[in-house]
Amino acid sequence: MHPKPTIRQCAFLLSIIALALLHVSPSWADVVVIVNPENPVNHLSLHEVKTIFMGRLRQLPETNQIIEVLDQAHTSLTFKTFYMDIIDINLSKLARYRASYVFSGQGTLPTELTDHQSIRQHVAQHNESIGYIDSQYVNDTVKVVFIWPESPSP
Amino acid sequence: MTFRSAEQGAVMPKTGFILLIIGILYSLNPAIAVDLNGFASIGAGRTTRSDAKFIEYSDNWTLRSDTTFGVQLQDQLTDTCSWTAQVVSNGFSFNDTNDYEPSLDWLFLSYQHAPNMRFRLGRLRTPLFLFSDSLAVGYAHTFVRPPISVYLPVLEPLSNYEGGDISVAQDLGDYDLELSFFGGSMHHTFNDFDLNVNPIFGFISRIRRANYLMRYGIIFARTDVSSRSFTQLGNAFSQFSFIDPIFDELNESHATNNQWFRYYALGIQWDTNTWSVISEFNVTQSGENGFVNNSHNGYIMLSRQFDSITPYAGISYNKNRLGSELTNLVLESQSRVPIGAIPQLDTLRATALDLYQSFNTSSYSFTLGSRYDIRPNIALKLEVEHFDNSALLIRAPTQYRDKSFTAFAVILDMVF
Repeated sequence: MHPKPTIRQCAFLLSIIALALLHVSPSWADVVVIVNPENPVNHLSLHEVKTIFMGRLRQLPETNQIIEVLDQAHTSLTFKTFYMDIIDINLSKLARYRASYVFSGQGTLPTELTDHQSIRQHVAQHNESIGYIDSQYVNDTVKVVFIWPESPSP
Repeated sequence: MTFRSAEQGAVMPKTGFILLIIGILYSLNPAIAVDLNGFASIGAGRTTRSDAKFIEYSDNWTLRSDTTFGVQLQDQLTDTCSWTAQVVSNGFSFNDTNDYEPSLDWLFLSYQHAPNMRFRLGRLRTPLFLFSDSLAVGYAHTFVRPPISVYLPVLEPLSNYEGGDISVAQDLGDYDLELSFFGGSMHHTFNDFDLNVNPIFGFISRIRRANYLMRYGIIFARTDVSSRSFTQLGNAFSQFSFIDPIFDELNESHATNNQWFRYYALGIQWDTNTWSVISEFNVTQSGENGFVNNSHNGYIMLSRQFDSITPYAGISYNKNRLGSELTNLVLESQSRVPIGAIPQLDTLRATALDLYQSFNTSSYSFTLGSRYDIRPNIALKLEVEHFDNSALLIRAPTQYRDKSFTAFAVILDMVF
């Protein structure tokens, strides 16, 4: 028979789990979609975010302004999280979709920037740009129009 | 290097007009920042038979048939106006271009009038199928090629038209609706056929909801078709018109003049992150008079993604029937000039009936394959397609048509 675990052993095990959860906590940060503060759009639905980043909506609602879509570095965790969890497409299918999209003359691909700060800076300087970053990188130079995970409706 | 349009001869006047417009727009705004993208497929293939040419495959491995290179230039001229040009070089094609000769597949101006409305003008892809727009880009598809029972190689010369389209998109809550209307003309030659389609027009509707996509299209095309071999056959009949005027009628029926073709296309796609089902059904109707075909065809493909490997399987069919007028006229002539009266006429009628019969075909094919995504922009595919009947590929006497055969392909697809 195995001896029963002591309270001290249980506490040790729980603290290990807590530390592990703390370690992975950055991947649980909210992902937000941002635009320039001058942009009249204040909110985008999940459906609109999907159609914009999949290239099916080429101008922003209400503004008739052509959209410049920005991507995180394709090797980044945020890029993978954004497309796999929010847009709901795996990266292999995304690559196929984009090949079909570009070579059928539908439009151009999103501009790939290196990190959160460069996307925030680009959006702050360009009225027509839209991008996504971790919420912890948001400041008053950009406007948040979509938050993931979405808050439940009141 | 000279570029040819996919059509006979030099670059068409409308294409020149588009180039002129682009030139004027650049002279007004000389800040040139063109996006350059490319794609390539390098493949090898063979069949189990040497007498049934399948995109130039034979019973020896060939590198030419599935090898394609493409380059695309794209530029946003203003907030609402852009242009796109795509040049493709195929190792083998059914149109009249030589091997690897660059052809201009796309050249158009696009004008985004509103967030949900876009106009395009220039050389565009004929929207015959679900995958018409990206047909040359192997990387964009799970399979090596869509089933040829539906994506008929003989339709390849009709894959581009010159004209315009308008697309209107509408957000219907959970549904996205897109309607496209197009119109234009085309002129192509391949083998000994000369096709003049003017006008061609139609509409395509797409409804998308979550993982589902449904596409339905109707296309109308007024078509003139002539063929040297059919013309010669008709002329041979006309030599006997001094006996009966029905042979003049037979002569005239060996060409298609101002014949309206109606084409209906239904495509359905269900696509999750692991499973995918794609199906298309097409119907072509063109009446019974003259050298015309009536056909229907379809396929269903199933694929399952396991990380970077995606095996797939599919089944397809094609049924084609030549308009009945030619056969009826020959049979009618046999009642007026009985068999045995003129031996040369008997031989001619037997040859003609055998040729007409060769267009009345029915075939199935079965496809098995797998795609391996080596890198985010490179994929390797292996595919085996078995045909129960070679009728689609060869116009040969009956004793050769019902033989089955299998095609093998290994393709490396990439985009850059």
